[in-house]
Amino acid sequence: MISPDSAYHVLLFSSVGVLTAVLGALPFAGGRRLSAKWIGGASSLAGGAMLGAGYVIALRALELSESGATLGGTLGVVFTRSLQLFARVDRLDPRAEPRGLREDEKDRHRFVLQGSLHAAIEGAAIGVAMALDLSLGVFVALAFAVHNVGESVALSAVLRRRGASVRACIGSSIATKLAQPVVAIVTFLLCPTFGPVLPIAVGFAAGSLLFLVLSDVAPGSYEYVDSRIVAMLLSFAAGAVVLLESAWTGAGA
Amino acid sequence: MNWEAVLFVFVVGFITALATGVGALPFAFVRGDPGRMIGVSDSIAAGLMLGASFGLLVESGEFGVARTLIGALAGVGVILVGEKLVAGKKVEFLETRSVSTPRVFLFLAVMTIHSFSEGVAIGVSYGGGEGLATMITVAIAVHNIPEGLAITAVLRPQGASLWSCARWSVFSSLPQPLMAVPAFLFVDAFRPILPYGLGFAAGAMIYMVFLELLPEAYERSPKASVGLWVSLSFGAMTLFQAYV
Repeated sequence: MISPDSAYHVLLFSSVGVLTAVLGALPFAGGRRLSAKWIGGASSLAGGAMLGAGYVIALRALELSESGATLGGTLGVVFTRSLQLFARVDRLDPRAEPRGLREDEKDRHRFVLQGSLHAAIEGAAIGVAMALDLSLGVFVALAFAVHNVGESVALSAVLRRRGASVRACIGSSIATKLAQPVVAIVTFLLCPTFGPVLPIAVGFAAGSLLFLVLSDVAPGSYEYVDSRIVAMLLSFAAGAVVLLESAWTGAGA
Repeated sequence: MNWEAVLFVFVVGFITALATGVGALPFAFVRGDPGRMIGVSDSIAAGLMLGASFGLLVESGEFGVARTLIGALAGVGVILVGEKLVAGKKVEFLETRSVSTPRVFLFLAVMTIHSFSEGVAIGVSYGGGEGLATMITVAIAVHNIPEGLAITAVLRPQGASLWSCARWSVFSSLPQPLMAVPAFLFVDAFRPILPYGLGFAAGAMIYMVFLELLPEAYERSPKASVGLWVSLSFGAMTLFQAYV
């Protein structure tokens, strides 16, 4: 079922997101600083795209098996919460003032770890989506590629506050997003061996994505910018992903 | 004109409206001060509304993506205007006169406005002579129950009685019988506007969730707890729609 060709597609499309992450660090070149509004706006757009993608994948999981999707979704929520507790993301404060060279460097590594966990969950979503249906997978990968720009703007802004160089921002953005293609290809290759467990895996991806947005990305956005703007961008990005997906896979079928 | 059929469509629409009131019932079993559960209640309402409106988007997208998008943008626009109108006003309604009353009023208005397009969907399905009309109506009636639950989840912590929550839930669905009749009679005129209407309903509800319900929930409860409740109710609503 898996041809080298399709594995190549997964790698190709999931790597686009690593390149787009670089774009997010570029506005900071030449010593420019972006205001907090940009962080909030960028992460709202990123969160909306994730929410839409999570919903679309949840629908696919339910088509496969309602009970499997439910079990998988629940496991996804539990797993993601455990990861958050493990990485202690609740204690990371993006708005904290610089705390000195060594502490900031430590924080930078924790932000990258947090971002990598995040990207790994997205990578798993790309992997299962690709295994279900190539056009759905390409759609999800491209949606995440666009959303990575927003996320890396937010990450770079936080790191710049703590004195990181633009080069370090670019490096951290890439490092954070590398998990996406890696986990995507591994998940994709594993999917055929899942057999009857596949609906659980797809549900798992959907549950993790939804919980990640609602417990982390969305509440983070409200802290930076007026709730009207967050609401507008979140609604727009989520709605656009859901609508475009039905047009995209409808046209592809 | 076949008056009997018109009456039938009206009665069917009315029954779907009554189903909304059933959504208030689960709160009869909730003990303790309702005011302390705003965070959880808002989260549950948000998840149910997100599930319902994404479902509307998918359904509507099958009729036409562009028309749905235009409808959704109009839905967001109406909330923006509505918010300006009620902001800072003294809205006296329900037993409550708290600071968030204008917000609750706007929320009820959104839920009521969104029922118009569901009424059109009922009327069009009967008028189109589709064999699936009964199925669609039952589906809408069943969908109304969690919508009543969402409304109660928002009203109850504000101090509204259970009976008043049930009445406002039914009220929010009254446009269904009212719109079902004209849509049934002039089905050819109504069918093309259905995606605008469904998109409008979805846009207004999604924007309402992110503008009012979620920010309040995040203020009142820990982020992880909000994420948990919204994900669960969102998932439950999506599962529910897949079943019905």
